[in-house]
Amino acid sequence: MAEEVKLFGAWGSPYSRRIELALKLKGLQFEYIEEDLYNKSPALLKYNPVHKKVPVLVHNGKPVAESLVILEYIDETWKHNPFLPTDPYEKAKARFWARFIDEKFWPAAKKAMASREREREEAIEEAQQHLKTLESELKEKKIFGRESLGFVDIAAHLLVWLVVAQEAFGVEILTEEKFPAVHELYRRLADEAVFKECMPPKEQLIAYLKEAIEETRPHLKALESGLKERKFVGGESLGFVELAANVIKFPTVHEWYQRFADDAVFKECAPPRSDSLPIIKLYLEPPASK
Amino acid sequence: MASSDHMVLLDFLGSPFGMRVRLALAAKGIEYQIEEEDLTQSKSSLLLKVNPVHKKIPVLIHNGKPICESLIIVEYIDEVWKDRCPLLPADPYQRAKAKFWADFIDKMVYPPSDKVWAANGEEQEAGKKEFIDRIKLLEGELKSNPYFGGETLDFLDIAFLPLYYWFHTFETFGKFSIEAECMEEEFVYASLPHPHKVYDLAIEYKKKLGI
Repeated sequence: MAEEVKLFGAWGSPYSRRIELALKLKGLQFEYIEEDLYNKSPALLKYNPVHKKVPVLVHNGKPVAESLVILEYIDETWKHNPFLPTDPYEKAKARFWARFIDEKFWPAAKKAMASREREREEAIEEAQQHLKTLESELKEKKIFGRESLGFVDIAAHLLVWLVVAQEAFGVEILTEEKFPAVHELYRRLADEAVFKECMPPKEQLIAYLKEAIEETRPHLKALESGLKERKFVGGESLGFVELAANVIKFPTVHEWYQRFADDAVFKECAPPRSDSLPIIKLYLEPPASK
Repeated sequence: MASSDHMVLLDFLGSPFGMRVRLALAAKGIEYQIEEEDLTQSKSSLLLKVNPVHKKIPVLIHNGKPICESLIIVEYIDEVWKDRCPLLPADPYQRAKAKFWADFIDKMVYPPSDKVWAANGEEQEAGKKEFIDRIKLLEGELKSNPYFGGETLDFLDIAFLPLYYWFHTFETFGKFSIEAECMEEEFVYASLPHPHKVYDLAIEYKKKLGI
């Protein structure tokens, strides 16, 4: 029977790269579909209606979402080169550490990179606390980084991503001096052929990450100065821009916004998102003085 | 289970996460000892020793080895006592679906539910709205793929049921009503505190924490 394996991913998503890594470690053929996260395909929305995110693995038409769930699915379906140990206690530990990396460490690291000034100091502090935890676990128990690459090593691929991101954002979270054991793991992973294949070229990734932040900054500055004179962007009443800016805080509104953003007719009539920021900027230019 | 097996569950009465573990142990017919942790007091030295990373309950200690995180514990129990009452299906795709929805419950349903009973005013209202929306999503999935109501308790039942046990508490604090399904099996009621007791505990808990 022909196996059909598809991966819906995104170039700049470390979680999507994680699944590529897993598929390659198992030596599997798969079709990769690149998603534009600002313009999600109907297929992605069909396969992951709950979260609408990448990565999604589709195996013979059946979708699996959430990267750690996908990793376990891959491991259970293709049993050679196992990621997880067979002993239930060791398995439980591997799951624990993968979750720790995903749910504690990575969000703190992301926050540290996205924050500015005072907030940044605190955020770095938090991320480093988690690294300390990883450091002592690695020193004492060697849960991961053993002979063959396992579940936690795949999750720890985020460390490789982190080091590139640190350079892009000029932030120091993981250093060899402070976290020698974690750094050694990072080095070992970064040098693995399969990991290298699954990382985007470093300079390109740095440029991509920088752009993602820098792109918004001049426009945010424009929004800042434009708003100084006014109650709302459009004048006295709430307009589109307020909605666009606030959708993040109001989940129901965000869903509403997503629904019309996903509508085919609306898409035809709306400017592509990358164009809309300069439009907003233009809108905010102070009127030419007479 | 070998007579030499020693099981200790470090738990806090009323914790839905602890309830998950109790359900799994009861489903498999495993005997265990409870060590009560009082979350309104400072953490016990036992807790800090067995869960130094998160310092949270539940922790299952099996022959001296600690396992943390409720769903990880439930999977562990399922794998060690695989000879009876399987909690997860054998098919990898069905397993992935069960794990996906358990993850959904943890990431998308529990957090707003905390606001429903612990927060006030606007924050509580936002929590209620989010909570109901997420429950509706879950319900939609359950209608098309019935997990609950089977012959025996399974992984998703275990992930969800304790939350259901808190509905009475949510409804009372949040002054609203939630419709939900209920599993009827004897040992479910035997293992878990009565919903009204959970409500009383929640009141006490809030008082002690000053919220």
